[in-house]
Amino acid sequence: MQWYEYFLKRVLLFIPIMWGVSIFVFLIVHLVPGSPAVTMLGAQATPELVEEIERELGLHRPMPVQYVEWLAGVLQGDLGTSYSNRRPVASVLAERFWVSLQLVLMTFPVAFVFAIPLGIAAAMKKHSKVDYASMGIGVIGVSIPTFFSAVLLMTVFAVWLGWLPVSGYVSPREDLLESIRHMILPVTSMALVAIAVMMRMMRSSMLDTVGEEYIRFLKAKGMSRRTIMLGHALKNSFIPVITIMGLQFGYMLSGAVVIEEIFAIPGLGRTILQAVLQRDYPLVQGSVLLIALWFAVVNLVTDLAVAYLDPRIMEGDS
Amino acid sequence: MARLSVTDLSVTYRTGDGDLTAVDRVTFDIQDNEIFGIVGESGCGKSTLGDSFLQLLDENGSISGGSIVYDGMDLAAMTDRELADEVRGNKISMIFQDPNASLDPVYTVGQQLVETITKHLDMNKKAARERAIELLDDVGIPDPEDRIDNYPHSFSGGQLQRIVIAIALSCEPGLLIADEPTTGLDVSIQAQILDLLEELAESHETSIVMITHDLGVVAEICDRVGVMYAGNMVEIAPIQQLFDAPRHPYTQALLDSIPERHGMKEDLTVIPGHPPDLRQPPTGCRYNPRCDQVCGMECETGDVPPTYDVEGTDVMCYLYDEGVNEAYEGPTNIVAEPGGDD
Repeated sequence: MQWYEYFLKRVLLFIPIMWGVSIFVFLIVHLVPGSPAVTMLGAQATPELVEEIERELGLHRPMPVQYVEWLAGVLQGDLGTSYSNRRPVASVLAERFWVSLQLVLMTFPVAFVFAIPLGIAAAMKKHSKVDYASMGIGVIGVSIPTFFSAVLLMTVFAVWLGWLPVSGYVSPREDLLESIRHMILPVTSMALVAIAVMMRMMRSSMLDTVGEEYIRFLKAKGMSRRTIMLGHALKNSFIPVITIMGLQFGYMLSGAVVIEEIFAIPGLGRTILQAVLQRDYPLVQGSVLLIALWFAVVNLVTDLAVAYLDPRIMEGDS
Repeated sequence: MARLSVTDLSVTYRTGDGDLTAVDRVTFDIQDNEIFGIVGESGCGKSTLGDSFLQLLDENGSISGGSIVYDGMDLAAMTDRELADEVRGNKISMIFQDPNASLDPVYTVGQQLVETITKHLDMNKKAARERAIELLDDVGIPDPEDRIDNYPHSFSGGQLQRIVIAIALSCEPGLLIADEPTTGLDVSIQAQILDLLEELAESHETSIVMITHDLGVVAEICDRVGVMYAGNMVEIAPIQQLFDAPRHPYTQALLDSIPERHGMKEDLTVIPGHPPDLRQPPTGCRYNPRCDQVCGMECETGDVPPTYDVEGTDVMCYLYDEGVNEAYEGPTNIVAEPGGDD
């Protein structure tokens, strides 16, 4: 199989995936009890008013009709209009997506730079201080919930020491330095989890690889420890780590609900949460579609990277 | 001439329940251009012995005594670094049981050949690649110019073992340690690999240590054989002599348990009992609890027997000591005493 064939095959797979997601999210959103009209009206909701608004929003029509109409819009690039602020969903999402992406793009390199070398060092010096330190960080990172570490960081560095802003978001286009200052705490609390997950994976994958027979054969043919570990073991053990990194990368964008809530960052996670609470159907559907697309793209990039490193993937299992 | 001299070699593993001496004061030589077999059942210490030559033992194992002299160097006293730079892959190579797992899956076979050649020989990559192609041709890989850029997964097990052999012999080592090199292969391929090893050993003037549990393999290519039991080398004999006149009761029982030596309808002979736990080896001869020829008190309560020379066979058994075995009539020639007791 050639590169472009593999790529094309994977991109074509996007179509059924996205279609499946669109049906699923549409059903879930519409089947959950509670009407957007009730949420909008709040205490003044009378059956007549609710019915009037539902009619206005087109919710009185049969669901398949609503779905097809929505899908037709989506295919033409129209994701609908948000119920809550009357803006086109596409422009709301575009705005929020960049904020979330900024968070991810800052968090991921930080996590990578700490996790990978630490994982390698821990594997190369098993039962050493480095190894135990990495294990400690791993346990802490995985077991402390984000909301706790975020609040803790906020309390110490923003409230007590006053070094950093407590919360909020500043666009890098407005003021780069301020933007970064606002990102330090959320990035740190998000990175903590990613570091733990990626480092442990790196360590265990490397230790698995070192137990392989080809490592013994490399040793038997006189390769230095450095060549064996960094030239051979690392490349092999990095393959499963890439998959985990891809998952983390995907998860960071959509799963940062808690972080975005705590630090009042207007990203995708927070948008989705609010849209669900307000039964803002078009916004929920649009966000979920966007996140699904994001995951599909990240997965594709991950798989291409894996295929690049592992020659067995491209030729299929023969 | 002796190419490799092993003297009183012991290898000990540290385990949760105390130390385990897997190889206990073993002494033997390997001659120039000789194929020397080491046989024994699982757990007898034969693989540990093979791993100890290049210090490829597991983390908890180490050489606890004795020497391994090759070319004037004591391999047992060398550091990992010195072995990697001067001995492994260069003077002594080793191949393993599973060819499917012996090569790094993410590099081409050519890259793995070239890295070995450039490490030990003064050659640039281009020259090394040409040599690699020749080597692949020598071991019988068809179209070596094309196949050299393939990854291991596109070769069969037999071809992979050929490639592994090419890598192992790429720097013209004087000794090749082969640990069960045919066990993971189909029977028809086994014979081809053995023929290849025999042929290459002759043309490259390489001696081979063939570690195996399969007496058929031994019969096929070995010149001399050492039989191991519970960490001891209990018998060393030229191949024909071992099959014609086995001296040690264990060797005799081992030969009796080969199916081909019996008629099809006869039941196989099994050796009763189990090999001993080497954390607490039995006193006397380690084989005595299973031996059907115990000949005196020494067998059960004495030291490990010395090694006797019985008409050219070195055998570690009190049967050949007139002081222990009153029925024995031949001369008692002790060639090696068991070292100090541990």
